[in-house]
Amino acid sequence: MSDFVMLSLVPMTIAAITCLSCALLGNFLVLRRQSLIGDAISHVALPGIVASFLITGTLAASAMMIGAGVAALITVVMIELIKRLGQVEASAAMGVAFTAIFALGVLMLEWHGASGVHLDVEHALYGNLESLIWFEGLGWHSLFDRQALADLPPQLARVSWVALLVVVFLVVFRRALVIGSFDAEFATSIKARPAVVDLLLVVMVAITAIAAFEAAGSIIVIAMFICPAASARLLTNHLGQQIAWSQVLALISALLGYVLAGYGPGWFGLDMSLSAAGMIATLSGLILLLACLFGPYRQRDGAARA
Amino acid sequence: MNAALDPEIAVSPLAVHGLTVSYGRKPAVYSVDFVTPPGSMTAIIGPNGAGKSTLLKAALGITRRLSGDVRVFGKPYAEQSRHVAYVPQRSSVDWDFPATVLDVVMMGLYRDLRWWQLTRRRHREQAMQSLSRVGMEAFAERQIGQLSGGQQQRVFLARALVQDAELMILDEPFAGVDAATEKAIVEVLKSLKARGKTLLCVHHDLATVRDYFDHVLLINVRRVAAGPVHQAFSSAALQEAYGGRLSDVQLARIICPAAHLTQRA
Amino acid sequence: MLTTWLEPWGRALLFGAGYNTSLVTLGAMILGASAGMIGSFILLRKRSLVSDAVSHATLPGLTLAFILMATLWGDGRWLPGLLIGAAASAAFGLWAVQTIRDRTRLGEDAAIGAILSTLFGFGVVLITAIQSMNVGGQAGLTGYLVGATAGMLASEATLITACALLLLVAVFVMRRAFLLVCFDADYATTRGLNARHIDLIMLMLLLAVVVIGLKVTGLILIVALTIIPPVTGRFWTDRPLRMVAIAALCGALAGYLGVTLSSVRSGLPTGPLIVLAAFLLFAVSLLFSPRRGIVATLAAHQRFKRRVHLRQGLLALARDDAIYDDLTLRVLRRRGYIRRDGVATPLGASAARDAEHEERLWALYRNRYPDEAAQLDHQGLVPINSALPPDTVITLESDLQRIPGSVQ
Repeated sequence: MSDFVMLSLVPMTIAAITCLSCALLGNFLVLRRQSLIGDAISHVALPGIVASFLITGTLAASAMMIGAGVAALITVVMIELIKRLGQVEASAAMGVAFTAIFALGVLMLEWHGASGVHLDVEHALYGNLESLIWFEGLGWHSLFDRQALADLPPQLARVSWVALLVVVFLVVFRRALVIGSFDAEFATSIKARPAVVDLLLVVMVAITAIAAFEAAGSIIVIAMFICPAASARLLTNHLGQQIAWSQVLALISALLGYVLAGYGPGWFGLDMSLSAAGMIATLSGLILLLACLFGPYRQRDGAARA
Repeated sequence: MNAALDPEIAVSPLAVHGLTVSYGRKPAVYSVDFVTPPGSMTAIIGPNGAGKSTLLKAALGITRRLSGDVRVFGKPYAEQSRHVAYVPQRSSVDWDFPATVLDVVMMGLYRDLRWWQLTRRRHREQAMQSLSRVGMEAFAERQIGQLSGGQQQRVFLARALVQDAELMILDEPFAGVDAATEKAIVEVLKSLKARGKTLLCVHHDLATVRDYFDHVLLINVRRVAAGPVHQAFSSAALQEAYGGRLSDVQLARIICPAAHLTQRA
Repeated sequence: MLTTWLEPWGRALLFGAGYNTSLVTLGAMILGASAGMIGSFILLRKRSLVSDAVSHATLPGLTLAFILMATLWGDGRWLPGLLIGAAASAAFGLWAVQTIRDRTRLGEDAAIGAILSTLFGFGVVLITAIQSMNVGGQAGLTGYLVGATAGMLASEATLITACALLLLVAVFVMRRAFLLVCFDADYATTRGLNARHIDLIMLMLLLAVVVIGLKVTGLILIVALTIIPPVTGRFWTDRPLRMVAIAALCGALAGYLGVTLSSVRSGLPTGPLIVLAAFLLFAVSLLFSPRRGIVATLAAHQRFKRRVHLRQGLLALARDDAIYDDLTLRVLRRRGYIRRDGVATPLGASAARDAEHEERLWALYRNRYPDEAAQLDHQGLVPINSALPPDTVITLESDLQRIPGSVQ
């Protein structure tokens, strides 16, 4: 079992924390019908990271995060500009912005591909959860060993801080978020500043996506922004319960997905390891499928259609 | 316009001057001046696309204005928003939102609750009280998606009531509601007026203007007429606002509904 | 440096860079045109990002087809087989998005996001499974993520070109039916068209374009070809069929520029270059299109705003109202209508009188001809002589003199 602590404990924890924080924000994205902003932002993290590497020449985490953050900011500004000034419909504006920036990222990557950078498209999409090994984690006792703890992969601390930030953000702005999501005009009239809260939400989405991206790849981020919250919406009609359910479902996807990917093939006597990020995303989709089929609140309410 | 100079504006719950709003290159509201008399119940009237809702939204800072000045009790809206309660059009929100009736009414208490404060029983009681004023206390725990149009409108009104503001601005409160709800809403509005509150209301049913309101503002992009109902709500002004689209029979009925009723009797 | 680039590019631009490159160029152009056309209808339907879900949903089918062919024949790289697999799973994804949107309370955005992420995630799982299998040609699969035309076989290029051409013809034939459904599905039904079927055909053609384009631009970037050219077209015209034509042109041009540029040096990816070429066309349109471009719009807005302030300022002068608005004062001052202290100059006084007179004429016009007046977009903000025929103005003038003060 010492294997588990060394190889799996940290990736599993990171996957769980990442999934929980993405799902938390996802509740509001789904309610605002802005789910795809998470998709757009996770696509542009790659170009940001490539650009920061080309400029600074290092793969230091801080430089990469800043690069990804700048790329996310540019994308959001671009989407708004295209939408407002060009009068282009929101989803099309999003499609224009993130594909163009992603294309730029791939071009930069391939252009300098020969220089042997440890960066590639697949890596960015799939993540490398499995490589987050805790070398000093020789057993459960290492959890109490200060020296061993110092050797924990830095991604763990990073996603934890971001998760904390997400929680603080939601606690502080909970009322403004709910009012702005439900009725933006009323929110403006009572000075709940929906535009500012909207922007902050997008910034939080970007921060979360970037921290998660580096640890777990972008595909898990997109799935977690949407699937748990969407499933939870079909399970309850109460916002508080929806958020709680989204957390439960995200946790289930993360833990079960990781275990299935790592140990599942072994159960069938196959010698292969599957992508944990991909498996977690798949599982969250299966949960959504179940919610769509059996969720007690899967249908719209009658009067709401009118 | 200077608040210090003009006493009428200093006491008016909402005074707009030279307000122009445009979507693209076409003005939706052009250079409208209007001073809401305190304690009045004013209807904003005009044909479809006349800029009635736009005027209100621009006054409340929801829509950006191209030019003009807005004062609430003589000061800019941003400083005075506490004194204004706004009831948007029912159709402007997604009623599939996961919230109960009580949740929506509590939104009206946003300003009273800082982020570290929890919602207490006192707040819940306040919300229940305003729900009972619109006859919806039995629906407090009901999902908002399950309400009828009239019930939705009552909930919106309750949310504004809980704000306890001096000026209440309503956008088409009677659109698509049942007769009982219309009557209930009018009762609530009249009781507010009796307590000295001011009401400003986009209204589309010309036949009920005289029954419900004491002041009118007729607009069709520009201001056509404004003043007490018995002065400003004239057939000439209506013809101008509606661009001659009202027949004489219609006009007679609107201007003098009592005569019409006696005729029928 | 520059010439070493320009020379091979020029050769490629003139289709002189070898048979394969020329074929791929042609294929990409036709693909770009059909993607632009079908994308325009999807844009009019306000469902642009559906193609994002469709493209990501191809991955599991692609990989399953690869696994199947690899276990049967030892090599899974046969293009038609891969494309059939991709199309099957894309169709599943499309169906799932539609079903979630129609049957549950979730919005289309959530449906798209959920389907694209989970199917793509499942595809990734399958790819890692392939990597653990001992079969050849797996490296080729990643080419479908970002596109790879460099090592394309002539037979593959021919297949793609032929399919793209077929799609182009199909979209062209269906264009009027699509248009009807885009504008008013109910009306289309009364005209004897089955709106649901046409909608389905539209989505199927979108799916086909996405699948055909996989090898050229890769699955993440094919979305761009179905979105960017149509949005670009929208900037140049308000007429839908013309927009479709411009989108087709932009798509073809992007394909042409992208493929030829990528042939200049080995290792230059085709997909991103095509997308960036399309984006360049878009950016130019966004900024400089005379009707909806940012520069034109902002300039028009500023002009309009100043015109409103000028008119309001002049009317205030005429009525002797005090003016406090900064912009109004600035506009009046710049024209020499008021002095520094805000008092009207003789020029300003006469302009104010004219403005007020004009305002009266407009009011009279609105009163006399309410229906015509309602159709005027500028609402009487322009000089009346420029907006109405002279005889109407003369009639209004004489009417106004006959009944002074009646309208105001």
